[in-house]
Amino acid sequence: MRSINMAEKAMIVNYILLTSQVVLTLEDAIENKDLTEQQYNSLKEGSELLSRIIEGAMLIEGKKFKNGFGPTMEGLSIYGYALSTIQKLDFIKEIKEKEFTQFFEKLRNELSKLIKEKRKDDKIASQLKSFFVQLGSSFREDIQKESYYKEKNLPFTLKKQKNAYA
Amino acid sequence: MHEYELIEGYTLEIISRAQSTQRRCKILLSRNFASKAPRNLASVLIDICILLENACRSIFKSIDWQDKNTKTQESFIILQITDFIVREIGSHISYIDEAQTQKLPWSFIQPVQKLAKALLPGVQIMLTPQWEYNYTILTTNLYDVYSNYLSRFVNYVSGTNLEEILAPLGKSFHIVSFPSIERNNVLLHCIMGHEIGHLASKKYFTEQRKQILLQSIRDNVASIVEKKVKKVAP
Repeated sequence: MRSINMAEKAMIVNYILLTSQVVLTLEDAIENKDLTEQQYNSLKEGSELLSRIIEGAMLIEGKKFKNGFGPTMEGLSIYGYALSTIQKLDFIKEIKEKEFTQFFEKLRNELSKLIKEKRKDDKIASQLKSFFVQLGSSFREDIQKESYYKEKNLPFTLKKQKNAYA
Repeated sequence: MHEYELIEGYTLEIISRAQSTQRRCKILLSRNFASKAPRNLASVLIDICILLENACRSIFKSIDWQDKNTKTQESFIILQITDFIVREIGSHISYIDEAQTQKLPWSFIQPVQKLAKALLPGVQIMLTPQWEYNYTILTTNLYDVYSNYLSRFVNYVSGTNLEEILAPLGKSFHIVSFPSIERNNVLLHCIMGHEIGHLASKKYFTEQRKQILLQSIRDNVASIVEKKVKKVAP
């Protein structure tokens, strides 16, 4: 459990809304409904979110950044949520030799295919949907925990020290 | 049907909360302030609440009641997050309430704001007292926070111009707090210069320094992740 700052909270809230919008769009795609321009934009933003996760994965795996990718704090932070998503969905068995970057690149490529070619494989669309559902849930966990966060009741001397360096 | 009524009730509750925030902000607009900053914040909060209120209606109307599982659930999550934002925004009213002229060292506000403007052009500073015996600054830019909170709602309310809504905040809006008990202690208020300096120090964290910092933490983070992966992997 950790306390999150205002900027991080706003970023997480933004991503929760994005994951929900992507899930709703993927549901429509699975039901073979025609997607609107707005829904395609949501999928594009979902693909950008996967790019941020890839940046985090590349940073941790010590890979060279290319194709417009670069190290960002945002990517590193989101990568943590993506890892816990993989753990919960039990995708870890599918990832050989800890190649998380490749796994996320595969997900992003599938999503890009859906956006560009406007056709989908039902199995992959369902996998993408469950990934985004669980990713949204991982984001929400931190926000929910934060609502119940209470500062520790520190003794007076410690409070004084804390004030001195705040 | 039961589900429909529950979600409808919840939506109305969020709308009512947003309207209550608007009302409180409008009341505060009639009070005295030593600078424009609190009024600007209040007018932005009113516009944000109007946007969220309209978005709530639109989200409720867009719920697909035929699909009882994923779609309803995800739409409900979007409503919950809207509620979360309305509450967060509502809590910012206290900053405006505290920034009323009689609670501040009023003669000191304009000079501090002028100083901040000279050091950091385009930055808007709002001063508020706090109960905690300390000087603090909200280094997070409120413009960015609100922009992040609201950018996804533009899809729900057509014709929304987010930049127009947030325009009164300028490109950067920060809150500086001081201990209320020391309101008239002008000698202590020089610490405000230190607090404003936190914003100026951001300039020194250049890209090159960021790279050095990332390099220094990478190995440590990698070893922690590896340990976690080992635990999870079969």
